[in-house]
Amino acid sequence: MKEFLNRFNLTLIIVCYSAIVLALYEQLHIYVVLFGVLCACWRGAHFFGWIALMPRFLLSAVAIATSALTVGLLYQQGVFNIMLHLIFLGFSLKFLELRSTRDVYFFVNTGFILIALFFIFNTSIVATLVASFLLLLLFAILLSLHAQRLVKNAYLTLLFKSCLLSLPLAIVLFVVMPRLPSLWKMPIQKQATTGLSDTVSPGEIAKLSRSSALAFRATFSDVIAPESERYWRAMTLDNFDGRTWSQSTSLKQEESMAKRGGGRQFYQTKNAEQPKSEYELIIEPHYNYWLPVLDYALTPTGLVSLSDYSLRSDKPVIARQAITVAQTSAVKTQPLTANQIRQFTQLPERKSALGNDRTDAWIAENLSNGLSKESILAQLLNGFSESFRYTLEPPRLGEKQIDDFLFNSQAGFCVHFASSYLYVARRLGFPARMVTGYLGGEWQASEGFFTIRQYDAHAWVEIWRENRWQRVDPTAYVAPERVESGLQAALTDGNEFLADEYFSLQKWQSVELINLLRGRLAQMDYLWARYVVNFDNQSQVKLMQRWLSKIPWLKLAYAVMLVMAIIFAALLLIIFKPWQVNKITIEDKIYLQLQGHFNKQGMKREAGQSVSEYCLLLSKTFLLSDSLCQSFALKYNAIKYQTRQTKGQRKKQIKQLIFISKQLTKR
Amino acid sequence: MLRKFIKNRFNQWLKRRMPATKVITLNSGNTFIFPSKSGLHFLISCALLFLLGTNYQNNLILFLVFFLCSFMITCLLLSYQNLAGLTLNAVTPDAQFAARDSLFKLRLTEGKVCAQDVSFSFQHPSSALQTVIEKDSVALYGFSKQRGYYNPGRVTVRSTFPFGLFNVWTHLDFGFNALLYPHPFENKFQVESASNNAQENSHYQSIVGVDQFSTLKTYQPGESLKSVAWKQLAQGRGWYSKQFEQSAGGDVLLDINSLTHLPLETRLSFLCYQIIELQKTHQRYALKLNSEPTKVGSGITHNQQCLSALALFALPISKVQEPKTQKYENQDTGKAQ
Repeated sequence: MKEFLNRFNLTLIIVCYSAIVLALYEQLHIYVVLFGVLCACWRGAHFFGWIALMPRFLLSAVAIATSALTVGLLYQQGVFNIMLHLIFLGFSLKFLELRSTRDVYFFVNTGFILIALFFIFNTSIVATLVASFLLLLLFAILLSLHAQRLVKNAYLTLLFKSCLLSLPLAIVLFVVMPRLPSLWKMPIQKQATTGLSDTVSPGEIAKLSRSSALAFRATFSDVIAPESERYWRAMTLDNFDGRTWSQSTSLKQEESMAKRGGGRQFYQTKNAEQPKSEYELIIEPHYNYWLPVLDYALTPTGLVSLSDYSLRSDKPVIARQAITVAQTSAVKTQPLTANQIRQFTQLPERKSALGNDRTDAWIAENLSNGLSKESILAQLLNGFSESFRYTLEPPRLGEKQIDDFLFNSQAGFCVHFASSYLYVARRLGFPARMVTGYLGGEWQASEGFFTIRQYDAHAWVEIWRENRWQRVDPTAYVAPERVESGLQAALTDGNEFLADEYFSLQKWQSVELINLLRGRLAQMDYLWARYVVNFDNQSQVKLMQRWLSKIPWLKLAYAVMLVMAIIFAALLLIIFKPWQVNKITIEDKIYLQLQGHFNKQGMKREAGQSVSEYCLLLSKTFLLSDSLCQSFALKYNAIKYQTRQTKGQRKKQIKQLIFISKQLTKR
Repeated sequence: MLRKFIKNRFNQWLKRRMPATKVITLNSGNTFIFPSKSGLHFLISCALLFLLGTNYQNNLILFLVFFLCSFMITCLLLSYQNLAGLTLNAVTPDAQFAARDSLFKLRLTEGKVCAQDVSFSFQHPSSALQTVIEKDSVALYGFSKQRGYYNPGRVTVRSTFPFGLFNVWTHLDFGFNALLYPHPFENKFQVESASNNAQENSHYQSIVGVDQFSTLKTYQPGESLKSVAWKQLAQGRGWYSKQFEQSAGGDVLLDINSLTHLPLETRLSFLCYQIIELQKTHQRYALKLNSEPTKVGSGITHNQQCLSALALFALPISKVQEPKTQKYENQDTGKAQ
């Protein structure tokens, strides 16, 4: 085994290390990333001969210090994060002290584990491509240790060949290997939730509007919900403290009880109507419990519904998750209890610091003018459509938010409109609540699914009239385009859309090519998520049954073994190419002819006998001329092994060999 | 203890399975493939990743595991392919002195593909010299202090190409037998003149002190100018060199029995040194090991004959005879009957 590394090895190792640091950048603490960059710099400087490798004792000291620091820094972020960081530290330290090939094996194996951890966080197709590239780099390092003499082309060919040849068997294994259930509970990473949170104050949704990150995708099995019905409900908020809308304690209690399997789940059995249609959701991880659904969703297995028609998962969505939801058009309702009415008309105290006096005065004035409660609400909506402006960058509101918005700024986005409408409705005595979720989505025509991104986040109002919850979307009155064709259309100033994401492909929707590219990418990613990332036991069994039903006599186990055997045989064929017969050189041909001649006369060449030995035996057995036999062996060896012979010399020698052979076989 | 036993059994099995031959082509019948240490590490990380993937129910990690396993199988085939078809042809080794590194050469003929990253060594390395690998030949070095035929043992051919996950190896027996002359000891042991010892061999005797001119030979460039036949050159007959029958000293008889107070090996070493020295000074000499001395002579062939006689003197039969030749002769007689 080689005990030192050459420059090519080192170059590859440094590149690979830097690439892995870059790939894991988002998951690592900033200090740890800095440490990684420092390691790469040190190694790079060493590569150019500017500094020596770190001495042993210093390295040990650094190892202890950094691990202690990491544990201290990440103490609160849970076991998983500490594990990830410690593995990464080990990887970096090994990288710093790399000297011999043994270290390189350790480095590469740790690299594999880091790639796996990378997959825990990222499962999109782009992430997979990145990981494949990293894997290829790691393999390249291994190969570079052993293929010193290979030229660049042969090196690359071998690398890609071995990877490509491994793919078919890997795919078969992936498809047929049964998936085991989790063997034990693993710590999960504690991560800040993304997307909607369970409180809403003006500003939060505006923040989301600046993100083009994917929230989820939806595929409808038959009937596609019309535009005006694509309100994806995530949760309802029924408590208002003058600034922020949040969930009341009773709602929270209900949710926690429902998650434990008890609690009040709305209707379920009460409704005898057949489900209207089904749709499949593939939800990006948001580290929260809510699942966006259209009105009204029947509870899928393994999930729970709440009385506000929203759907919850019993554990946070930490990885891409696929669920199928059945939809129904109507639900039976029960009249609200007194408690509920109190909760749904709750407002901060009048005349308090956060009280909205002007709004209250405006309501009182209208009431005294003899207007009905209904018409006051209608007037408010009219006002929205007449003089209000929809913008993602509204002026800052004062302490009395509703007053300030309704009578001063008159510019804002969904939360502002929903919030003030709710305030007025509750003041008038209507039970009402705020619903947050997503609105609309982008239709991917080629694949037939919707992509719903964070900027589709929306807030609207539900108001209790005629013994049921009715949806009112105040935003629709100020910016109907927002409902019909998405956020970008609703904004008059194009710069507001995704103001912070300069590099986002969404921002450049007008460029045809980029649009096409974006569509392709989204489509591939969707297929990837649907068929690969969420390929579970169920779909496995389904797939197998479908295939096997075509060949009824084949048992499952046999089929699996057969496919594997076929692939293995193909691998053997491709690698060894048995159809390529070794080209026999002229001298070998003559030698074989000679052997054949004497074979007929009863002398076989033993295995492993050299030419000279054979010729010696020949002369002994058949009493041939000793010198002739010897000269045959000499000529043969000369042709075969002599270095630096010109073509002319070779030709001459072959002629001589033929002559000798003829002399020998003359008898 | 157990290890030794297993090793012995394995070596015996190897002897039966792969007897000594001069030419060996590597194939599935004579190579072994096992995961190397790094291959085992690789498998351990695969197992770890499988646990990780299963516990997190992450399909991509599982795919990574399956891919790595599949990659391992591809490596198995590739690593075998690398060595398969490589033909090794043993070159009969030259004689060497004991306690010097003797050279053993193998000629390589590639199979379908060029074998990469192959290492050659003796199964039980005895020399400090490293193996020299060239494009189509390999030079291995063995070391022994024992005179007689020296068999350095099996040659280990080993490769971990392409990814170091598998170790393809084999111990090949080429039946190497290098003749080792005794180790020459420098000494001032007084050589006996053949004439002193046996007067009746007077026709071997020559006049001491006077160089006797014998013949003229065509001058070879590089010969001493003193030996040029200037007279003939001056006569315009071309370049000739004068050959003298004798240099100083006269015929020498080297007798093993003359120094009986020394151990046999030391005496052989002394004689060996004398022969080398005599060869250098082109003196004629005879060697007396048994009752009859060899012919008096000089020259390379005579020199080698004498040295071989020294090398094989008083050795047990099994060591004197080349096992290889023995085997072939047996075969021949078998065929003849």
